[in-house]
Amino acid sequence: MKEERVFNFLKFKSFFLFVFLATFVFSIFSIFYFKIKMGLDFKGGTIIEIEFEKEKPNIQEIKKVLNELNLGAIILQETDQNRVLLKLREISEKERIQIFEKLKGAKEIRSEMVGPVISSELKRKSIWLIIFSLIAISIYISLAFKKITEKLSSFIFSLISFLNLFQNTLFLLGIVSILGKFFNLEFNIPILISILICLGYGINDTIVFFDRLRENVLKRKGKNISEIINLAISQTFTRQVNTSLTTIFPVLAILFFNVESLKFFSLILILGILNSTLFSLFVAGSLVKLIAREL
Amino acid sequence: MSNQEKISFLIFFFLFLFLGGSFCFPEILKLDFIPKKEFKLGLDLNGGIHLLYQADLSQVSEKEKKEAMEALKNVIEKRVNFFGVKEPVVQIQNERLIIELSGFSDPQKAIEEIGKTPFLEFREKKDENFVPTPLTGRYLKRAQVGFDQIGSPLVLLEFNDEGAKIFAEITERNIGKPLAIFLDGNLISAPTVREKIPSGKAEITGKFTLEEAKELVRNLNAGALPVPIKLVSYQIVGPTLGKAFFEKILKAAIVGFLLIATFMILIYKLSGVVAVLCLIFFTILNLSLYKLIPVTLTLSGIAGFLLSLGMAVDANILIFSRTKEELKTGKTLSQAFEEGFKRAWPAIRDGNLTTLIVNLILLFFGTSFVRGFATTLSLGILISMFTAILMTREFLKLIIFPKFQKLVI
Repeated sequence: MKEERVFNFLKFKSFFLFVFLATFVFSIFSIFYFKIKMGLDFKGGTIIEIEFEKEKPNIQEIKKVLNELNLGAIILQETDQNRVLLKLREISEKERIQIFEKLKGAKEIRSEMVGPVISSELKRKSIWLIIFSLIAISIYISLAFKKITEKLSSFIFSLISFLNLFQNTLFLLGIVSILGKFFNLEFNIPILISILICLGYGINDTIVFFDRLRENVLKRKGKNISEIINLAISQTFTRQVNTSLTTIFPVLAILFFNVESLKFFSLILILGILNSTLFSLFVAGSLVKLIAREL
Repeated sequence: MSNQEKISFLIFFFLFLFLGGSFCFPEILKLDFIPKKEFKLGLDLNGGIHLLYQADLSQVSEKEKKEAMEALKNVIEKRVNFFGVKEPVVQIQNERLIIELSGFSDPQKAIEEIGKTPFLEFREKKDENFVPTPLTGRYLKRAQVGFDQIGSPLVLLEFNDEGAKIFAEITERNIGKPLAIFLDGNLISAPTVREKIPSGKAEITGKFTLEEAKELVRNLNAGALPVPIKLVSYQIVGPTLGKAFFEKILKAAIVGFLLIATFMILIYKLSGVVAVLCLIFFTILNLSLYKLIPVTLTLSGIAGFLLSLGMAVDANILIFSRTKEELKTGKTLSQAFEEGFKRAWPAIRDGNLTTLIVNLILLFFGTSFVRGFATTLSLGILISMFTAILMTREFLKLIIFPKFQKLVI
């Protein structure tokens, strides 16, 4: 029988916990400082991306022409050489026709309108979606730890799992706020979905780690709590890294080929998966060591 | 497994890959006896228009709401059919109407044409043509199905006071001549006027079946009932953009697959090759089902599939890394594989279950982006339970070469 290679992860416990705490603080800071920009889905409004066949007129000129229609505030962004993105309030069919009458030579590349009825409905639905997903994940966590014997504090495991959910959510929202500030990312339904998927997928890494921890305790491997934790991390290390990598690969390809409407969706997925993997590898064990005297 | 079983397993496996591959990609592998079926592309890949209208039913009594929506749908379906779009979708959702025109590239026209309220008018004959009269659906109080003495269905019209006056004038000057009823510019029927009708009530007799009479009544009531509709949301994707998206996501899919395959083979050697073969099987099974069910493929849908691809190999990784551990404890190759499957199963089951549950919640959520994503991802997870676990397990039995253990895993 070969000796299992065990690396002393807990040696860097303080560093891991410090980084963990830092992501917490930075995320909260970033969310409050940069704010999360709500997108079309939740705010309502219209976006129209147009392409000019020949030379694109000056942005100011377009703005001037459109302002004659009394459409309220209009934000214009250049997206490509001959392309301009218009962002404005929700518009009627008539106003839509007027816009294209004013913008001679402009071809509609894509557009989207969400009226106030729909956006408030989407908001309501999203809140339900979040509530139901969190309930489902919580039930899952509590079921996953039900089997744990009384000697092991299943409370600690559940607590740390929820901490993982909480930190992952804050971390991703923090990223969203930063991307919003510097890359105009708006919080829309796809972003919400990517965060929820990260939570559902990411919690597994932590559960797998705890599962191993439990197995080691039951088999009485390791002399003390630190040894047991280090062993469990070492045993699950490759597995955690490899599963995350293979899941990230295709999403990375989407990001690489710059499929515009999925760009931020995939970026959030990648960061969320990485974050929860790192949590399960370095933070979960450190937290157990910090909280529990014995297992 | 006996040798015979091994051979039949391999034959089944590769035959499926061959036939399924030809079904999914007839451009690459064309077999004449395989039925042709195309992928159904959503509007973000094909270009097209998604419109959501809210009907204003405040003037309609509770009982007639459903009927009014049906009528609205009928009229709009007819209008949409004029655009010549393949498989247009017109769907009632409570008091809303969803219209989806995949591949249609003139949103301005679509919005203009659809936005009109159904229009009913009476026309009289002048020379050889029907010319409009002032009498339109605006004056119709209601239409209903009735029956004559011998029990054949007919359509009863009732005008309001103003309409009755106009109707009286028109019938007076058209006795013995046909009076045509047009809906949205289409001739519906042209009964002959027998006498002046002052009561504001008329009946359209004709050789109606009950169904036809009902449909006519529905159409008439739609024209008569002012069911104004308001565009509350839309999404338009130009055809060039859709095509560009499609090419990009296709490239991403191929590269993503190759990355996974290379990784698996480098790390897990021959077992990795088995996992990749099963992943190819997984892909072809998924794509075939997209064609057969059919699943409308959108950008988010393909993203969901790609994610399921990554999660499918997760199962293999769990099994293989457990197997490697078991080998270290001195088990034989086949024992280690068995143990690997047994030990990895709870983690695989739990992991897939959480993602599935979150997915089911997403499916209920309803917007097209979310549904596209959740459909392919759930389908992928379910199928991966079969390919990444059961199939891999059988396949691995074929490569148990204890002498070359270093090559196997």
